[in-house]
Amino acid sequence: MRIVSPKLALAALLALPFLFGGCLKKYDPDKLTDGVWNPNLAVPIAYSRFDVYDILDRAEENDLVVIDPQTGLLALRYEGQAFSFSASEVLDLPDFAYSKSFSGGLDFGFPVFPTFNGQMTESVSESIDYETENGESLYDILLAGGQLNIDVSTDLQHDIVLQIEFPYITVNGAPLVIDVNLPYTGGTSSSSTQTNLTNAFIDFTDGGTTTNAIAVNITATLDGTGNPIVGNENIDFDLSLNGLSFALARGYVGQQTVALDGDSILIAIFQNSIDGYFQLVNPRLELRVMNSFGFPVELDITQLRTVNTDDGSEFPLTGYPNPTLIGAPNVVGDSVVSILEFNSQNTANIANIITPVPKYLHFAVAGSSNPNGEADAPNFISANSQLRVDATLEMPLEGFAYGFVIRDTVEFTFDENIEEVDWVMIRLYAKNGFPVDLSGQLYLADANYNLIDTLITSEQQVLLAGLTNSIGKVVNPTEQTTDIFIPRERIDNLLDAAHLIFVAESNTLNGTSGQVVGIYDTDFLEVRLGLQVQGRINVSSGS
Amino acid sequence: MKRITTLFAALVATVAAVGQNGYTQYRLPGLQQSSALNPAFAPNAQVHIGLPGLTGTDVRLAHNGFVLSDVITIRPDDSLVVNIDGMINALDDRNLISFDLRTDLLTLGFGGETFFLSAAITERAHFRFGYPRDLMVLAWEGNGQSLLGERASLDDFGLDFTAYREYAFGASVAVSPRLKIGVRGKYLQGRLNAFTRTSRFGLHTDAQTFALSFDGEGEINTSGIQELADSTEFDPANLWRSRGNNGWGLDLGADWRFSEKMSFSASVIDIGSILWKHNTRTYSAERFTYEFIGLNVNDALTDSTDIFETLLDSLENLVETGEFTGNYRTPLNPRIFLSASYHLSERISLGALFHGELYRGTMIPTAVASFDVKINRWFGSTVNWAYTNRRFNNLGVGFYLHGGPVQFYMVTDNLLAPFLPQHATGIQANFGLNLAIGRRFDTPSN
Repeated sequence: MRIVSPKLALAALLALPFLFGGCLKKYDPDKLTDGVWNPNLAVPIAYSRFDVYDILDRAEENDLVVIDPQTGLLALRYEGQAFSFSASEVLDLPDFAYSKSFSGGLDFGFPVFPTFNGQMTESVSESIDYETENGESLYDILLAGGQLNIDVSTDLQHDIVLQIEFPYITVNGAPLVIDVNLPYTGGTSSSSTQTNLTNAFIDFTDGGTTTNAIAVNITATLDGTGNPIVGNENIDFDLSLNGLSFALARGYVGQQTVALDGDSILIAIFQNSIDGYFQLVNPRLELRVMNSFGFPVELDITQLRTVNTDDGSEFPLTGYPNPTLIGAPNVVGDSVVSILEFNSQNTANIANIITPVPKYLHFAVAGSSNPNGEADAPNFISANSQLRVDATLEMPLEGFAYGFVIRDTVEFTFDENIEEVDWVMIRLYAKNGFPVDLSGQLYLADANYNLIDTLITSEQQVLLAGLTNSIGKVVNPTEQTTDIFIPRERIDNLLDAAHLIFVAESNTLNGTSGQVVGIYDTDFLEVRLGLQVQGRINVSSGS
Repeated sequence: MKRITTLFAALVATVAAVGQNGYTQYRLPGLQQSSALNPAFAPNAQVHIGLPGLTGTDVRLAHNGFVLSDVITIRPDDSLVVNIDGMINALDDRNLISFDLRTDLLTLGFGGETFFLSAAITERAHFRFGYPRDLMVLAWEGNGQSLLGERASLDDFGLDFTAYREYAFGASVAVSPRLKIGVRGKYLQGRLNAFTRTSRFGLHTDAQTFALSFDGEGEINTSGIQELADSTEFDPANLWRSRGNNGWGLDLGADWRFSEKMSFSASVIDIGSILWKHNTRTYSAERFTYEFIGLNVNDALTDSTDIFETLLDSLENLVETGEFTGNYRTPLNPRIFLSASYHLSERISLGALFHGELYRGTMIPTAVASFDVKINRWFGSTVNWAYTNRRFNNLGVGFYLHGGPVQFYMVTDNLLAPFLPQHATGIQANFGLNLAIGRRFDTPSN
């Protein structure tokens, strides 16, 4: 049985393509229309990972970030410049002048002669009281410099040689002796001498009997010229000490008080802050007092406060122990170091020391010598003696904060060709291992700081605080992605911008609830910046 | 732009005018050329001779990606719009442009209905260019749309090209009145080769940070290409001489007449490989992975370093490349045919055919439904509708016609391609003359 004619079936099948081909529309290249190409590129731009060691590297010269080796807790340490009472502020050797007219007859005992051709020698002794600046009682001094000036004159009509001896001023172990020649040339004879007292040692005790005394013996030898000695002639003696400085002085400096204006510690972390509330668990202020004066000092802290120079507010610390007796060394060249620490145990409100986001910690001190009066051992002061005070503010980063607002402005230029850009999205990805939230806003401003755009359309958290354990240490870092979408109509603002203003508010984890967190050496912040650009490129079909 | 678009369309049309796999020819078992697809098939004459230049050349061009109508859409007003999204949607993850050339220099066969011996000398060339869908997506969309958060896979991007001469000796034996089996052994002489042995490259864009992760490794073997590129060394005559690149191949087949109404056939061909020794060069890129997460903030703030320049420098420094010589072996691309026929009558059969080409471990499938008509011993034909290159619009036809000792044949796997180039995935044509001498006998079961 023939089911179908093979020839017919074959012919029918072969006709099919021709039927299809005739029904379908033709392609006419001239009718090709324009199109749009919208490529979209996503690229990473920048990255960084900050950990506490990076912060260590970035610390300024005077600011240290220290890590507790036991717990890993970080602390900011700000150090104030050292200041001190110098030796010259405690003991100043003033210039000194002494004058006396010795009578030739009464003081030296020269007899009266109508004419005198012979030779005779007479002496006088004098104890000169050296007047100190503040009533100090000097026992002895090794001078580092100074000059002794002696002027003598006489109306005796004979040649005279004066030997002026200072028995308790020794130079190289020998008493200081100064010879002065007064030859008679008619009228009054006079002469001046200057003696350098460098390395001279002065014993002001006059052999252990007094203080501040300078003994002098003057011996006059007359060689007669045949003129008379009438008995009323004088020998005028002027002594002055100038420019005295000491290498070492002993005695009793008395109860002097020296006040200094003090110093301010820059708290750099708050330099860009505007507002906020901070409370630390255990901030510490340490004053390190080094005394190399040979007498005890009572140190009085006259000012101790934080200052916010933006609004002028001050926060004085109260309740700390004051004043404090600073011990003294027993041996010249030694020093005694005393540490004064102000912490939450001895200073009532130190936990709030940074509450008003201060820019500076200001402190000033005054020192009083020998607060308990004169002791058996004499005071000593060397030229290098000082009472040095170094201040360190250490703030273990353990506490809570909220409303910490920072603001910064950076120059900004953008001059890329963006005609074929449809939109731009800047993506900030952050993995936060610090227990700190951060919400921020970016503003574009022109050259006159007029705001021209707000980049983050709805304020949002840029960083989410890492989750902490019971001691406030982050155990689970938190990831957060922030997109800054800039559509076509706002892209031109980038070209007009000259400044980028960043304003951010930061809180510690549940800071408003007073939850205590800490910054530890394992904390980190990983930040990645990406850029996504959608193009809009017209593709023309025209030749 | 219009000209470029037109050129592009023409290119697509050409590439899309893809030839297939010879499945139409398979359904004409009386042809000597069909026995190349199943060695159990024997021509329907006692002596069969194919002469150089006459016996035919089989040219196939195929693309299993998109077609012209995918990339250029006609609007109701007859205007055309370039539709790259449509093109991308039409792509598979891995896409292949194939070109095959087969020219019989000489074929000779003789025998009877129960036994047939054959020999052939054939020049063959195969070209495969593979490209991944993601490459086109990356170029069109960028990495910020559908590829965001994904790995843009550029794996298997590369080309293979092989040209060789084949000396084939085959036998078809009727082991029973209903079953024939065939075997063909082939000695191969390699001429030129470029073989992408390894090509694994990728780009992953992190959806959250946009970090770019590059990975990859590659190796390309070549033989004779270096020489070809150097015009001072290259002598075209050398291509026709043995170059020491020896290989072997094997074809196996069976043809089973199950009943009066049903018959089956199957074959596996092109099993084998070639060892390349002549003028070999291997170019490699060691395996690498590299993640670019941006410039370090400090550098970004203080330097004017170009981000892409930095990226390229980093990649260049990272990827270790090498060039060396040494023998290597490349496989042939084995093919399998599975066919079943239902004979409506002595002259008309309905057939089903599965064809698969094993390429780089992946089977590229074709399914065919055919209608075979044998008018008499002098004329046989087949018409089929095939699913191949992931499309159904493939109409294949083929016939042979005897005039005395001369056998003329013409076969194509896609008759629609010239008429509907915008929908065609390939074109293939094979025609020629054979000398068929001696008593005619019925062709095998198909």
